[in-house]
Amino acid sequence: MGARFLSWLTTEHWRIGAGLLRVSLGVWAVYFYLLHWPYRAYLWGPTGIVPFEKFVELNDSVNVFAWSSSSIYFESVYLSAVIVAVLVVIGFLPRLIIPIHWFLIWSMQERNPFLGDGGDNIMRIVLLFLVLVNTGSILSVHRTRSRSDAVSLAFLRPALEVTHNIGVLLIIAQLCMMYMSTGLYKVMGELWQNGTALYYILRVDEFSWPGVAEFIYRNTFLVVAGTYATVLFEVTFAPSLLNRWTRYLMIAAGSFFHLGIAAVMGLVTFGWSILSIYPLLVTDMEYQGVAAWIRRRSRLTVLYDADCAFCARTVRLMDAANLLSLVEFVPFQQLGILTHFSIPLARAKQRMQSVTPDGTIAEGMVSLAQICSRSPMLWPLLPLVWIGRILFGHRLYDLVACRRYLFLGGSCPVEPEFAENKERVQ
Amino acid sequence: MQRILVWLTVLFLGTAASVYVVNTFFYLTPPNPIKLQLYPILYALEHPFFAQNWHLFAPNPIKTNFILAIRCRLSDRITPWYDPYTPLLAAHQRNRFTPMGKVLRIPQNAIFAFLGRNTDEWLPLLCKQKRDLLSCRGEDVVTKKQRDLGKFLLQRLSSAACDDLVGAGQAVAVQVRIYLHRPPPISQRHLPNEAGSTTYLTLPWTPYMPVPPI
Repeated sequence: MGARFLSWLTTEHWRIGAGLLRVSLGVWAVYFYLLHWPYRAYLWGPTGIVPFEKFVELNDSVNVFAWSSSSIYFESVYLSAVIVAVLVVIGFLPRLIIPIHWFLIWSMQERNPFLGDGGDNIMRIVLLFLVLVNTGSILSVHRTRSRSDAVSLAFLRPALEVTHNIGVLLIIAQLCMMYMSTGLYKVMGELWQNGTALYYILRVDEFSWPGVAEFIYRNTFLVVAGTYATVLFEVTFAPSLLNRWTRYLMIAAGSFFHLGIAAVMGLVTFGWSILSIYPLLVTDMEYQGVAAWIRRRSRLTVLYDADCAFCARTVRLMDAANLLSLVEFVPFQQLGILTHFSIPLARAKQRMQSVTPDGTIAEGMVSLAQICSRSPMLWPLLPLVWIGRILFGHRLYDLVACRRYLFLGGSCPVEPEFAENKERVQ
Repeated sequence: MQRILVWLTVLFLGTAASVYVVNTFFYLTPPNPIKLQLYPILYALEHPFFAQNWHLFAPNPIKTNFILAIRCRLSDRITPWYDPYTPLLAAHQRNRFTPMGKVLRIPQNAIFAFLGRNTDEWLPLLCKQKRDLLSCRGEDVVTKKQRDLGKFLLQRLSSAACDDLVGAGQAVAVQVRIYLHRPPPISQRHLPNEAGSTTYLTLPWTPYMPVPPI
């Protein structure tokens, strides 16, 4: 029992969720800082709505903005906060950067306490726990350096893994306690008991959305159902996490709930902060299961001409953008590959071929579109590829393909009849 | 040695995490006898870094619109009443991805502070028994400080609005009026917002203060 417990504790869990949480909170911060950039002096500046002297009088804890009343200093801190938030997003030295990021967010929130909402509150607590968590396992530039670090930290690694797991459990516990608390307080409220709370919230201009709110608050069924569903969701959230299927239900319900609040009540950053924690409600094994399922359904085998320097270089570039590893590039010269897929050699020489898991074969522009659709970095090219296909069919592709040996040196061995071939496989 | 380090981590961090979870659980529950007994410890462990409040429209949501109107006294005239925040609210309602969400929170919170809004969950319970307490009448030191802070913020907000209305530094004094509008009750849900009731509170003139523009 003790050995199993120790083994569980010294294996990092929720690594994917922790990485997604870091990216989401980082993007939140970048968005927040840039959105308020034109208003920064008014909201947080030394001569802003809460002037420096007043802030110092009210402030009773450590704060980066309390160290100087200079405008240049304020601007430098604000700019540094943006840079640090970007570093959080890309996962640069996350164990070092996240505490700095937390301190800057904390300072910003304390600098003007009249701006905060529940989303800001949960975020600063979560960031504090995130200091314990290894958030650099995925979507992180630091991941590439982890091998060298692994040697120097080998001794500490099991203890760090324990720290990571405890940090994640604290964040999940914090989320549960937040829902429990607000749910219990709502149960005590008369308007939540009689099912009319949603009506009165939507009637307050600050939380209303003209054109949509009327549709909800004029319908008593929607008002009562929405009011009770909110309380039910909040009170049952924590126990529902104990079962896999009710956990999925809570993730779906919570996402709908917070997206609804963001849209109808205008509390976008509040919903964003809380939904950022949701990736931790899914285990690594579940993420890997979903990824394997997507990979099975979306996998694409691309057959290209490895004798063509231009093709090989293009494939190298596309492979670099193949972050999801959904596309496998194989030279059609590989022994037996064309026979395996029943593709004639002449066709493979003429145009790049692609094969989906169900055996459907495509070529040329269609293959190009399939590659772009499976590589998020190539998504910006997708409209161009589709427009090119609609306007010119394969002609544009053939124009380049038949001259492919001329690029980067060589002659054109593609026989003219292939270039003229207008037959379409798909 | 490595094993000892792991167990020490489990022991130290596990204990600290358990203390945090138990403490936060009781800190976040509605008033109850355990919370009453342990409150000084619960509070000390949560503040300032883990301070949290999840009342979020609870126990009852706000049912009133608080609208701020201002007017400016120039050397030779007084402007009519002007509502600087309703256009910003309209912009926020048109597009959810603007900074107006935060900008609008300042006048709302300034009004709450000025009106002495108290979120202390123990106060209603205490005031049931001891109605004559200063804090039950909103006359205690903490509430007075809060109201002064609210007044100060309203002065700065109205100064910034006057800059916007008549030009920077043109006003010599500013005045605030707080409208409290209650929308129709649910039994009259088909009526427009204007059908509700409105009262207002006018504050005395205060000197203009230079503030960066919104």
